[in-house]
Amino acid sequence: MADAAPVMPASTEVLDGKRPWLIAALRYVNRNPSLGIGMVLLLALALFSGLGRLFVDVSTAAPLSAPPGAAPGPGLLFGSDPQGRNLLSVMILGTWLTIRTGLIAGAIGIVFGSALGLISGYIGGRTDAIITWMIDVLLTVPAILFLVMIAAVVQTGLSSTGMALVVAALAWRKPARAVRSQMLVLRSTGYVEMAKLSGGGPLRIVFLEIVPNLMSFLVSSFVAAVSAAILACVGLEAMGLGPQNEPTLGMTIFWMMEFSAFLRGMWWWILPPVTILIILFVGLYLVNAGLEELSNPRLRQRA
Amino acid sequence: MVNRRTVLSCASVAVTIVFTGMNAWSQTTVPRNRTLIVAGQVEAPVYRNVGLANPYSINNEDYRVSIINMFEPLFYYNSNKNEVIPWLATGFDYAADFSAVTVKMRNGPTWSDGKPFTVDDVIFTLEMLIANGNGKKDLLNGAGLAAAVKAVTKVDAQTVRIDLNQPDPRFAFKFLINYFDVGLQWLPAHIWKDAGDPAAFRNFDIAKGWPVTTGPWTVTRFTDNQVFMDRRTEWWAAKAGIAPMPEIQRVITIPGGTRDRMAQMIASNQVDIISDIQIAEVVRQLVTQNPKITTFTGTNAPYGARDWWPTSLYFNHKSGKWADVNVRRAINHYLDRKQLIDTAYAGASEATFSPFPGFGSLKPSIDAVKPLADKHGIGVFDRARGDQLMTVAGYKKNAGGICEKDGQPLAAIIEAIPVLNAIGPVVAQQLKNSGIDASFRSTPESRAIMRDGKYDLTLFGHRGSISDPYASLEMYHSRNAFEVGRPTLFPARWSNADYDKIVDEIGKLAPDNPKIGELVVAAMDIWMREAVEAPISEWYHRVPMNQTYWTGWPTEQNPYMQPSFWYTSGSFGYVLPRLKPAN
Amino acid sequence: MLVRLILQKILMLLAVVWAAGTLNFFIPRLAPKNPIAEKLTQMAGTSGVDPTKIQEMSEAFNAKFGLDRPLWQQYLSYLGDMAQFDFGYSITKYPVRVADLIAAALPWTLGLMISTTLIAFVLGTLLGAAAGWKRNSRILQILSPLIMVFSAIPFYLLGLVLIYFLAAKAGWFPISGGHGIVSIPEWSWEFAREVLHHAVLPSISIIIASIGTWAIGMRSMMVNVQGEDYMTFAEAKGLKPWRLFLRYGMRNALLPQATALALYFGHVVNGAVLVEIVFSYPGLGSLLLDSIKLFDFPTIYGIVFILTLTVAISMLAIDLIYPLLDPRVRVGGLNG
Repeated sequence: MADAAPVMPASTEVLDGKRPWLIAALRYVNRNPSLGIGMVLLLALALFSGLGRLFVDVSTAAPLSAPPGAAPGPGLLFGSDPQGRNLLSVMILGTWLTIRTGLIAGAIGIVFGSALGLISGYIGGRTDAIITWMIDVLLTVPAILFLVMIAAVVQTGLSSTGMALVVAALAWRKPARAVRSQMLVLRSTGYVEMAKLSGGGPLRIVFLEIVPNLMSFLVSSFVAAVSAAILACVGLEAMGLGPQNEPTLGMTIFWMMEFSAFLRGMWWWILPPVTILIILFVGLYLVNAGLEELSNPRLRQRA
Repeated sequence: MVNRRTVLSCASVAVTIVFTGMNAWSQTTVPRNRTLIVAGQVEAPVYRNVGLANPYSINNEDYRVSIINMFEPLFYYNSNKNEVIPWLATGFDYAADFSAVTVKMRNGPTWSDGKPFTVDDVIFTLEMLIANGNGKKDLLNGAGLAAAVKAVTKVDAQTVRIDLNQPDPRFAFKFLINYFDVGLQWLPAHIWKDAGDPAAFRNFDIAKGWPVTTGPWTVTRFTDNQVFMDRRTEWWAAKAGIAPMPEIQRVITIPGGTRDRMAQMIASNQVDIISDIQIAEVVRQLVTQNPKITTFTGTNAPYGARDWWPTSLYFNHKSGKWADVNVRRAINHYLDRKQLIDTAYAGASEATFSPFPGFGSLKPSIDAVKPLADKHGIGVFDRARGDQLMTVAGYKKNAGGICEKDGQPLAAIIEAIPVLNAIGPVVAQQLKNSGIDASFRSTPESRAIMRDGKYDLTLFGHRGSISDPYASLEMYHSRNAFEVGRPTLFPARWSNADYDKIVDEIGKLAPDNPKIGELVVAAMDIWMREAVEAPISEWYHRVPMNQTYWTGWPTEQNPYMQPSFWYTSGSFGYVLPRLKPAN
Repeated sequence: MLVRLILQKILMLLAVVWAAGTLNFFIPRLAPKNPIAEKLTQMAGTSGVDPTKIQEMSEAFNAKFGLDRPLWQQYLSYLGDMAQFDFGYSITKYPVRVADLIAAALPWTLGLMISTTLIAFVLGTLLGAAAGWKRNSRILQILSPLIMVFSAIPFYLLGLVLIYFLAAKAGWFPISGGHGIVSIPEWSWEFAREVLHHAVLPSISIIIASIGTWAIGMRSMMVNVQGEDYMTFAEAKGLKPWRLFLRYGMRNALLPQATALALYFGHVVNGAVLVEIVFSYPGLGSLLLDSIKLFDFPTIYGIVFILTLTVAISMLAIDLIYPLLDPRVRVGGLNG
């Protein structure tokens, strides 16, 4: 099939000179459906959570805000749980809390992990060996052990931000390793040799020459890190080890299992958090796949 | 491709089979309608203490739902009718000053290996526990007995005298009579004398018939997910005419797993009795959807038997936060118990206003105490009154609606163990709605914080009285008010010298002494006046029992015992011979 | 030369195991917890535990388990014990030995996780290879994204949904457990059938959720391989498509996949915890969680040590075997 460029409607010809990058982006998204669908899903969740607060009073996510255990009906779009929480508010608030936790943990993980990986990979030699060894050792620590112990030490109780920090403490391990391997490949490339010859210091070379080339890899790693962080958080919360006072998605799943939602047929309590989580994970995955395609042209569809 | 998959499946099956603890010998099969299947909830999805049948080991969570019911006590006790049932013993007598107890054994009980049960076994058990309590302290009940008992003497072949360190009119009820989680298991001296370290002794060997007990059962299988107790051919109690020989030929106990799993197993008639289902809604569904399932109260609320563990919101009297009695009274007024019960238990419970569980035998005390509760407003929901009291205490509501004093908002964390997950968040929300920034926690951390006295507020029960008000009152004696950091499961940590004096008085009188009534009122007057805690509701064990294969379960109409099978008293052993086949 | 390299690698392995072991010794000690006190509190309010005697009993048990010795002494005896694989007695399940606990739990984890992982690996790799190879096939265009999307869903969520529809509602499969209640495990087709029947739901949720991961990896590998020069050359030679696919495509793409598989086995227990909770599967994951909640140090140390060893050995094995399979790779250059 020939390269099918979409036919531009007349109106964009007016915009053409003004926003060429937008058109190019839209055109690309059309050819890379993963990225497109993924972004749409994430955007939908962001809108649901962000705009939802304008229309719904999120203080009703607290217990005793609605008749307990009510099925969806007028005024209670998602029904209520047995302690009287309005599940629509819980979903709006919870989606935001969960996403925020993932973003914080993923961001810290990526920033710290990449920095470490880049520097270690660039310097090489003894330092690199020691740092890699440390990362390998830390990779063997079971996440559960670490997380429960930290929760035990922080006696004043874990908030969702606290949890994000705890997960971040483990989230940097994989990115460090991955970025380091990329660095190993790149440090012997031509332009890096050039930069060395022209007298650039190591930091300059790493952050001004190499990083821009790794951009799409870093972004895709970030998305993967966010996804992994959310997975870890939700997992911990579902086991009951999370911030019990905040209506996050993981805590909702925990309460739902704790109070036998399945046996009681409370489908309105089971489906929303599970669906939102699925949308979230699928969205992040698709965006990630799309970014991978972006950075690896061989993966692109021959349209 | 298909071949590889089949090979893999077969390989995984083989691995599973090889290791799931198969025995070399064959097991006789027993028809389903002569088998009782019990699903008891343990912390893990399987039994981890396989082959442990030592009743004094602290790791008893696996056999307490099964094997412990093989051990018979000196006396059973039916709390429903407040009656002591002599079993291995025929009676007990106190010395006039309550400094000693004399117990007379029954003539006739035999161990499962044929040897007679004698007073020597009782003496051996007591001495072993006392020695441990004074020494290594690694057996259950050891420390308690050592503190109470001075000496154990054999009076004659059937009688033992126990001399106490302090006069105690309640010693028999604390150690010799088995009910709920109270009571001892009697060990065969001829086996245990060669046991070595009693804490390390497993007391388990199928070939030898261990554990040897006086009950009509013997263990024929104990793996990580099955315990088989088969009926013996003879039993001393059947011979003596005290009890019928059980119709049940085999009791199979399995780990219950999650609540949902247990509920589904009993709903599909796969098991006959399961552990306590905390969620009243789920039990209601079970009894309505399967007509064969019943509970202690049949198909009506509260769907279960009352327990000795009524729930209260405890203040930590050593933390300083609740020093002002007005604040404590106010919090008590902020709790809408009816709303709590409707939300958490679907209305299937009752509010309390005292630390006593509502057993029939405690009714006189509870009735006597009601006017005091009304007078001091304990158990009364009245938000306006609460606000008044907070103002008196110096608090003003700030912009966020939270009570504030000297710029400090009043915040508190309610710690609890997970069984209180249904009611905890609702209590926290009620307090929040009334102006106290409360939040609820039931993480593994919470129980440690509560136990060490570092908590603000906690939701917990009362392991005290069943028929004798003294036990609950004694929980609040100042000797139980441990300092912060020292672990105890009496959370209140409150002390009041006048209260102590009255309770000590009661302690010296026998439980049936008429003077106790007014002393209880006097003590409770102080307790209510000081708003020591905020009582909330009764606690029930909502145990579903399936009548497809077995009937004769204990119910309100036939309350011959508590139906709970996990009590460490082994009281379920009294129920087993009384179950009749359904057909 | 080769021997020296292997020795070097083994030393690295020991270094990793030692460091990980030290880390894992101290982590549970960060929180000043006493396992006996925790256990007694967990039995709160029940069973012959005098509510006021917790401190005495904890101290008594401390002495018994050597918890009252200075920390460095405990650390040294810990090292000695691990080296001899003598994990001692579990504190919160005394007198059961840790080795027995692990031996009881291990087969469930091995049986379930390994068989499902292998099945998912095989199916996923084939799917990914096909998707990477024939990128224009209609069926694959629809099917593969769908399956890969499933990979984004955590096992236990999928498990919950499956339990709800197939077990609770339809009753086709048991809700949980390894075999029937009254059955006595034995060598019979009857029992084997039961075990399989009980294993279906947990297996399906794990397989569905993990096929996608393997497929994605394989697809990228296949695509990369296709761009290599030797592929073009082989095509030019006129080799049959099946030949190309298997001997040139799969064979080369399989190596990194196999690496990933070996690494995955080391981490399989972590992911298994929630699955085991949802399905009441008594494997290592739930044993680890139980011990962590009660701060049962010996059991935690035993399990984590075995996990560490597994991960380290699998990494070592890959490092040693890979160069044999792919001569382009210099020994010692493949970490990461």
